[in-house]
Amino acid sequence: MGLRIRLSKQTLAVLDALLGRAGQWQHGYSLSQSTGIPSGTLYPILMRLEKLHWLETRWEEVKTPGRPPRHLYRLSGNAREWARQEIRAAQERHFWKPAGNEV
Amino acid sequence: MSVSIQANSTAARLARWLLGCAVRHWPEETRPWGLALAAEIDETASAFETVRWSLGGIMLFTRSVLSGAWKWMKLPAGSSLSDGVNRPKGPSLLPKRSRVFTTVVLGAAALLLALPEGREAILTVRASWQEYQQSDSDARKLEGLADRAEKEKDASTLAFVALSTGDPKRAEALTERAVELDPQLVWIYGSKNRSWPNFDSPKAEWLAQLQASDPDNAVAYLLAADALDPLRIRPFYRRGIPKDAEFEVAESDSKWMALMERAYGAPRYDSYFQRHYQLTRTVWNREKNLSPAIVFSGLRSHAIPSLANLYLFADVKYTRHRRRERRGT
Repeated sequence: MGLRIRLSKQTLAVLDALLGRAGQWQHGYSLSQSTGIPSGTLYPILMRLEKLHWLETRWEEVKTPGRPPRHLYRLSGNAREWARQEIRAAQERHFWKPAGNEV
Repeated sequence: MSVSIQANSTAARLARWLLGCAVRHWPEETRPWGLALAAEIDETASAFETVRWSLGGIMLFTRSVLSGAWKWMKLPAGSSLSDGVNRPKGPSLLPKRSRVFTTVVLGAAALLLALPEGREAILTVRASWQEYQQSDSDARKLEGLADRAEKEKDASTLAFVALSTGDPKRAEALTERAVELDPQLVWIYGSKNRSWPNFDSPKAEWLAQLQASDPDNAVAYLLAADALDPLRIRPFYRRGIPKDAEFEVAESDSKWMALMERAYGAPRYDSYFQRHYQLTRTVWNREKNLSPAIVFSGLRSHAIPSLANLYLFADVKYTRHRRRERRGT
């Protein structure tokens, strides 16, 4: 297993959102929309997950000239299982519930 | 277009502009994340969302700048974050302590200077360099003390000011007022050095009162003897050992001889310095902000009976004895 960290409720929400479309690349704004986490909180979480190698990132190819390329995120192969374990453990501890059922 | 929507658009434009500025100045280390966040702003659905997204970006920018600043602070002075790669190995002239360490040391020094005790230490050193000369502010401080003491009928503070002030006239008035309020303070009559600049010998009636209140103390008589003619000693020893005839002249001063005889016959010698010191200590503990120049100039100007006078008297006595021996009486 990769580096284990103490996960906050917001981090668990981001992991849950990433797991919801596991294997697919997601944009920062869509993650913010699905989790309700503002950009100022979301990006430090993404930065930390990338540093721990839980997150794969890449730049999108420019589709519309004049618009900057967007950054894409998805969980790394191993991180998907770690994230599931963490989410399960958090739910068992009643620390966190998925969106809509949150404590 | 309504006013509200227009205001929102303006706010959104301002938010976009601010985020753009932040991205331009984003720290290199996390710059891709700044670009990633900024690239999403075109996706926001409303002006409110745009502002919210930009504010988050500015928060992240602030965090990155502070984090970079903290890393920079942890490096030794003179080095930069990029030095790590290109810096040659081996001994360096640069300091090894971090900027944080330097800042903490400077902060501690500033704190020390801000504390009253620290300021007092500096003032003490400065006062010693200036030979404890009182400044104009010291004189004003003493006057303020005297005024307050007069209102409160505080004899000891008046006595302290009398012994500390550099103004002879004021010292005289305050001395008399202090003793008038508290006769126990009569010792201050004999505590100001007559050789202190601009000060005359203590008044004859003061010394008479001192002798009357403390008859067993040699100092009261010695000070009176000094006051008779403060310049009497100088010519005596100027040309080497004086001749017998010169001692006879000194001996002929019956007033001086009587005072010196009484001084030698007195059972005690108390210069009142301990009382002066205790008085100073009491006032200083009460008035924390007294400058060292005030405190030390008072103690430094404490009266000490003339040693030359004692020397002369001993010589007179010795000459008289030798003369008697020669005569066989």
